[in-house]
Amino acid sequence: MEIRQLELTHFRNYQKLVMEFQAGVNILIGRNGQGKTNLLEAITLLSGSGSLRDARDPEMLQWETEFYRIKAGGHNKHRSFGIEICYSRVAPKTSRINGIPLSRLSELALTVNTVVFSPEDLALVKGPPVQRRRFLDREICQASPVYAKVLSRYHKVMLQRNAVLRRIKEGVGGVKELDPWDEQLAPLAAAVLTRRLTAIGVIARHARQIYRELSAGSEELEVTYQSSFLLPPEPERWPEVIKEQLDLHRSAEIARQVTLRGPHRDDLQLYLDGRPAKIFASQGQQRTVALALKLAEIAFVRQYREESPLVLLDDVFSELDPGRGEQLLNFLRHSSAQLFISTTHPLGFLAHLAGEVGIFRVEAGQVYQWEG
Amino acid sequence: MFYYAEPIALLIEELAKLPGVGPKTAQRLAFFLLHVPRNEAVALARAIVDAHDKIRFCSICANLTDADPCRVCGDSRRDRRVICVVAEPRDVVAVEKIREFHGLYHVLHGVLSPLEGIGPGELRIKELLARLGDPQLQEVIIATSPTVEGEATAAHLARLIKPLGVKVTRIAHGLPVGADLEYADQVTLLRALEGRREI
Repeated sequence: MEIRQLELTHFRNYQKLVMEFQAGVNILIGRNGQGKTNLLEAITLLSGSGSLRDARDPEMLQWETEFYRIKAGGHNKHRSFGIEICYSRVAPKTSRINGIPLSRLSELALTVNTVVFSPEDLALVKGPPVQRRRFLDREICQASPVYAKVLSRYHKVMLQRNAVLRRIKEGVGGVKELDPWDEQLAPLAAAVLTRRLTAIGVIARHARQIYRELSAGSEELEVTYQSSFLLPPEPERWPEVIKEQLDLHRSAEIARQVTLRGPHRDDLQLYLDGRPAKIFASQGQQRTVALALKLAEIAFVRQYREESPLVLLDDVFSELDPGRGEQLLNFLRHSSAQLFISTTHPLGFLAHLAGEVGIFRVEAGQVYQWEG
Repeated sequence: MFYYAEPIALLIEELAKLPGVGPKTAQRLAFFLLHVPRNEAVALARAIVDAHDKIRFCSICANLTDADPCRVCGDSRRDRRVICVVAEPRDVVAVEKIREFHGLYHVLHGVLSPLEGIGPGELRIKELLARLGDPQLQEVIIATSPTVEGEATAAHLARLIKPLGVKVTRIAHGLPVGADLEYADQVTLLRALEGRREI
């Protein structure tokens, strides 16, 4: 898939921007605070997956304006599309594809997918479990637009259940009050877990192979999903088994007043040659693990879309030594994905890129063609 | 600094307490009310007081009513074999509008939501259980919304009612009738698939 035209109105520091991208590689060069990441952010919104900085809509409005609009034109394997996203302080946010309004923003993922590389990706290895869960959930949301709804329903039930746990501890409610919530929680947890385990199966396979290539076969990367429930091999039995385990740990959960088990507590385990990468791997190895996971994300999208997602690299090369940077770029070029790269200074190895390459200078909310 | 004269300020404050009304809307409403003829203002004030004085809960179904028992519970033509349980009085009106349901109702006045401090004790559940002894009763239809709170309420009621030997049913969820499959949102479509039936 590709995006060829982009038009921003009152978005972040862009008063009005109309620009054309190249089908191959697009390099955005500019000093900090000029609007490179804002441009990438606008592109991520096109996939309905939210801002790459987790920003809320009011924060993305240009200062003292009432609305922002993002318009983009491009095509994927199936058709050409025009996407329009409009947010206003006074009206509900809307999104349209070829003029037809979507009922949910997440439906944009059926047309456009994005994968973002950023220096914060290292947190996939070093950070807390929530980072890895978010990584996985974001993947699945792109593959299955229903998943976001299942996940949010799971969270709603869990929060209500936690409130029941507090009521019991305070003596306001009886233990029986947990039943109607557990009855819903168990199948929802099973639905989340089924999708997560299916996805992690695919991601783990790709990540292992990619790590092998990136590290020239020096170590073996293993990615596994660590569930807080003990699950039998047959997914049909999961709701019932989860319900049993919830029952079993009720007294501990009442004492702690939180739901201690469930997808909201799970984690991805990353091992290099059988040892936890978080603890035993060097900084360089951890970076390669993070890259392998992100590259596996592209492979994951390719597997179900049968085409590459848009790939955005936000100031990634400053963190990598030139050799590794070049290796990453070769890898990405091989995936034939349209690339959007932001960088503070022209990078030597980018100068030798062949094919459709666009180089842009970003300055104070304006984008210019690069002229050396 | 100039502030509103006290009677206006008071009116704005009272209006701002209404659900869905913020300070700006409250101001607009207050000035609107100041500009209507006095008799209209009095009519509104009287309607509010009247509703307060005359409306109470039906001692049978807990719906809001000006006569006890309410017009549905007191109507001998209604089918006493079925009770439709709903969350709010407005849901009774919604079901009545289809003019196809001729049974009785029971209004819970809310759904379970522990986060908001609403447990089983806060709903009109005891009153519902008291009605289950009626030998004519055959079925309880639970018509709460398919939100997590509505589902939890339904599950809770089912657990209470089933052991008493009364049939408990849940309203179906799925595609709106007359809608095009391709325009249904995915969550609704998934629900409809899950709830499919053999024909």
